[in-house]
Amino acid sequence: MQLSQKQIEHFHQESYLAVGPLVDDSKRQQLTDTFSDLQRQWAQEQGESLEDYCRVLSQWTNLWKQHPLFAAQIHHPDITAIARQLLGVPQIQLFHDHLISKPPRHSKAVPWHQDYAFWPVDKPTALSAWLALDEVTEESGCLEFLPGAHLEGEQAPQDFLGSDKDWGERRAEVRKVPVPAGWVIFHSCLSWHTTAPNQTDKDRRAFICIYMDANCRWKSSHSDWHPTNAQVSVAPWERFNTDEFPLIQGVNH
Amino acid sequence: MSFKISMFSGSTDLDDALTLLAQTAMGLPRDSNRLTLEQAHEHYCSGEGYNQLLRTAERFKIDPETLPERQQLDRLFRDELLSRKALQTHAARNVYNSGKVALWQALWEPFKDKLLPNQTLLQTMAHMTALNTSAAGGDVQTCVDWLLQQLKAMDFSVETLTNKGQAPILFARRAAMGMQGHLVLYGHYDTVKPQPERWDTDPLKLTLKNNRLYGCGIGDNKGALAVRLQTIAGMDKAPALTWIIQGEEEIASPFAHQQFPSLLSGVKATLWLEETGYHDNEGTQRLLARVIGNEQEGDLPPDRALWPLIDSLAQDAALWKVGYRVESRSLNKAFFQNGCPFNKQLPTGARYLAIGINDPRSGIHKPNESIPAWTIRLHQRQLATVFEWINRIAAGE
Repeated sequence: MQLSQKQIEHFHQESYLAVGPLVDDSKRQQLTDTFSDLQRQWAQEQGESLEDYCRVLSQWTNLWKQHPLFAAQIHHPDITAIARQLLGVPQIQLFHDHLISKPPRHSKAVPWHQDYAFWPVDKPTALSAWLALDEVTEESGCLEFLPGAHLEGEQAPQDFLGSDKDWGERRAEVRKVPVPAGWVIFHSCLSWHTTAPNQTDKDRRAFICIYMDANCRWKSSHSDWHPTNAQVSVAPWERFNTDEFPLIQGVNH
Repeated sequence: MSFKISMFSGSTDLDDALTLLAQTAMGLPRDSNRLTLEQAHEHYCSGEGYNQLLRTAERFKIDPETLPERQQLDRLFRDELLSRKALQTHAARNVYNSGKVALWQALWEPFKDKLLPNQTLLQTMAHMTALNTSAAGGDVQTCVDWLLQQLKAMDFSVETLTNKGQAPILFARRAAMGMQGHLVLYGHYDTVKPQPERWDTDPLKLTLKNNRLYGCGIGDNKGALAVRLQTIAGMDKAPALTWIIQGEEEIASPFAHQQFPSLLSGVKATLWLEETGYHDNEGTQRLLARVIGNEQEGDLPPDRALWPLIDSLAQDAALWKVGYRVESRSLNKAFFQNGCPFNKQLPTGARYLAIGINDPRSGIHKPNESIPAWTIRLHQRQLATVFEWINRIAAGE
């Protein structure tokens, strides 16, 4: 899939780009059904009721390791082709995937933050491909961006439990980005973004793949607490090991 | 820097807080390892543990109604345990940290301000720590000016004794404020030379780690000095105070040995308070209390007047579930040939007390000098107890 020059410019100027639909309803349903099955399995393994399990847990990382359907999804041809175009690199690598659920009544806001500040990666040549598994509205907690703020560079990592980021007069520039199910929002790892709690009675799930330039190196000192450090088996400043951080093959490879 | 909860995975704030509270509520030794969340769950949610928690709330005048019911507490622990276990087993977690926050708010928030120093005091300590007041450091005058400002703001009249090439001595006095008696306090603002290459943290930056505060001079003597400054500043009533603070304690106190004899000559005080004091590793407080005898007698045990003070201080320590023991001696110091200039000037019959915030792990004069954070609030309470005792004793005498 080829983006227009205008779309690419939008991404670089605004820090995000919504494209869709990229995943049809049938595939989307397979993904959500599979995830629901996995939740039931995990709840049982933990000795918890499904209700308590879903009330407490909200993020699942590296689902590509858990089920072949998600393993295939991280290689989605259109999504990965767009990621390559937006990053402007020939080859990309998965940093990690994660599914974030904001179930009805049991979710909170995620404060304003930049993702890159949390990652043990040497350069901010990375983006998130945020696939809406359900329709995402302003009421259910859509992504919100401050367009252009990413151009000011990387800031200190925000502590979600003590974040007091306030844009002041720039609040008027905040862009809320509701999307239909099956759409993907690509956003730069330096984009400033937030989400509100889900105030509807419907699920709000997103499957997010973080793609980085395959030339990115492991820099643990950039985020020595990040859980992915445990999956790294190379030396600092080397490329990430591909067993845990899969290379994404392009259609021409 | 503050005692707050953080999202970052490496943070142990909740676990540290639950350990500190369990030490206070259930009498776990103060040098016990950090509790795992499973252990904390067992402690707090057992019948006996939960009752101890309620009794601790009463001891600290916290409305037990503000605490969750035992069943609710059990649910909060199980939620957070699920989040942590899920991270290990299948890389799932509570991305909002709601379980961590809920436990923090339900269990720790009610006790936090009773058991740990407040932000203003931490800032005071951080400010003092940031000043390099070693003999070769460049911040001695800045520190003296700052102390002068603090003391004057507390209505002390301060005489600054200076001599070329020597660190100034502050001789501060304040008339009684609604209480009888007279207390003499001693302290020093100098430290040994910070050696950053031998520290795990920046020695000039107050750092909180594992419920301890790290910084050059924090145990000797800036920590106690900061605690006393802030505590006394917050008291409405106080006996007459004389506060003598020198700046050459770490280099054998030459100026103090020269000046203290005349400064302290003829001073009559109800009590003479040493620069700091110690707890054992597991928490037991060492109450160093003595009466100065004549040359033949040396140190005498506490007299009848001192025992009620010791009893009251022991009751304060019991609030924190720590015991005490009384020793009739002076504080051990790295004495130089001439000894401690303060102790040398104690007149016959003087009542001496050493209480404070250090423990054997404080590592005075060593890299990674530290104090246990829990001792600060106890020391603040005991200063108030000392003032009350002075008022009572002086009235009787």
